[in-house]
Amino acid sequence: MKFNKLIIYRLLPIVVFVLIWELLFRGNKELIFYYGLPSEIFKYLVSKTIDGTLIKDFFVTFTETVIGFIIGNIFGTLIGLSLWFSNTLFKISKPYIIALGSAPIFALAPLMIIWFGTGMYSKIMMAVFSTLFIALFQAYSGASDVNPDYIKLLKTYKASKFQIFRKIVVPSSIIWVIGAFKINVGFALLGAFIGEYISSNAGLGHLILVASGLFDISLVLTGVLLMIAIALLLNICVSKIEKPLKKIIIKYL
Amino acid sequence: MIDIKNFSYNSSNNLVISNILIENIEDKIITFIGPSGCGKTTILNIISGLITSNESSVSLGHNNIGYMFQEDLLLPWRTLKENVKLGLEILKNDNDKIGEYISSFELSGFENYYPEELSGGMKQRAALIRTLLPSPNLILLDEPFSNLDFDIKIRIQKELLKYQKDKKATVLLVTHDIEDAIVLSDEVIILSDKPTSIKKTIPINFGGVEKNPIEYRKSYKFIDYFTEISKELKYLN
Repeated sequence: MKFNKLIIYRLLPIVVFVLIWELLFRGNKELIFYYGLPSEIFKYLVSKTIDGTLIKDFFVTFTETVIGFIIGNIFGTLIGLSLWFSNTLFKISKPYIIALGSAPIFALAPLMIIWFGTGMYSKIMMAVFSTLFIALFQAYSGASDVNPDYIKLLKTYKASKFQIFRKIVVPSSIIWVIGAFKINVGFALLGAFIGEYISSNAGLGHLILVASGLFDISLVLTGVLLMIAIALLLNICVSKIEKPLKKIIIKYL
Repeated sequence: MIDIKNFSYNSSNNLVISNILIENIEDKIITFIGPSGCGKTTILNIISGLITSNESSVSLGHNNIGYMFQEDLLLPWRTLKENVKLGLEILKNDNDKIGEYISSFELSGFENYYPEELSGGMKQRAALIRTLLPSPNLILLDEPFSNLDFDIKIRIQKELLKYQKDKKATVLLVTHDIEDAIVLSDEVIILSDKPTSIKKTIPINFGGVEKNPIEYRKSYKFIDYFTEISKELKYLN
């Protein structure tokens, strides 16, 4: 009962907002031209789902985001954690990591298109580069934040450096790594979107670019709505893998 | 064969420990007692090899060391059972006595609890199980009883005494508690302030009776030892 009530309260603001929007703007062509209309967004959602174009765009962007997200996070995390093995290597690479991490990767989008073409490949690379350095830096921060007493404890058992890495460094960094995953959902999506927005023939970025060229605001907002849906979906996935991931790491490492 | 000869330790050119000499320590419980910050923990760290001293001569032969720190250091992402297994995992040792230890330390039913769900005393007991499971024959204990209620402390001390007797293990204990030192030890070593050296070694002998932390406390000898040790530790007066 309580849970149902919460859902109702949560939906209330958006329902009220959409209703006011619809009722105030309906019939006013100028306002609709500038701001779109909920019922038109709904019409697009139905008609373009039926003719298949929306599903295709959705899956193109979704695939690019997910593949880029997975590759970027896995490589970033692995590199970040393994930098723990060598303090010297970390000290050398630190300025590069910070520089690349704070550089606006999106400025590289035109280059990505030139290097990897206008297809999905360049968008995946955009998503990879948008996520890689964040994952790397978070993973390294987690690894260097390990309680030194835990390492001392393992040393009394004459544990090897690799054993310390497996038993202490990886599990205690997991919170940081999951934190990076959560931040990176947005960045992966943004990377894919910007790639599509610059040059593409499919995807939600492409849909939004074309629709805004035609001043079809309702269609633009339809695209935005689906982008939000992708972000929510990925966020749910990340929060679902948190616990099993921890368990697997403790059991098998 | 455990051999801890003369050793000294310098930290940033300050002599911290000078000429610690401990001999004939096999199958004994030896307690270090001394003013706070006198370097008791440093002595254990040198013996365990965590700190290397250029002037130490510590040879431990084929002995396994079990080192229990002041803090329990249970890993927060592991359950109690997974925590006590940690040493075994590192040493690739299959000791099937986990259940036995857990029940003799009265932790049955808490195997799947995480450290944050356990009381301080329970965590300390779990840490002692983790230390004893790989069957060490040299045990280093750094203030292991500091967080415990009296009844739990006595229970743990009895388990420790039993383990020591069964395995003929050597136990080096650091404590600030004179009573614990008397009832557990074969020898009490009183340390001086920095630079740390041995001020006096007091052999403890209750005349052949089996060690018992409660019975010992009731005896007149206990009072004599207490007087003698507290006289040496002038800071108490």
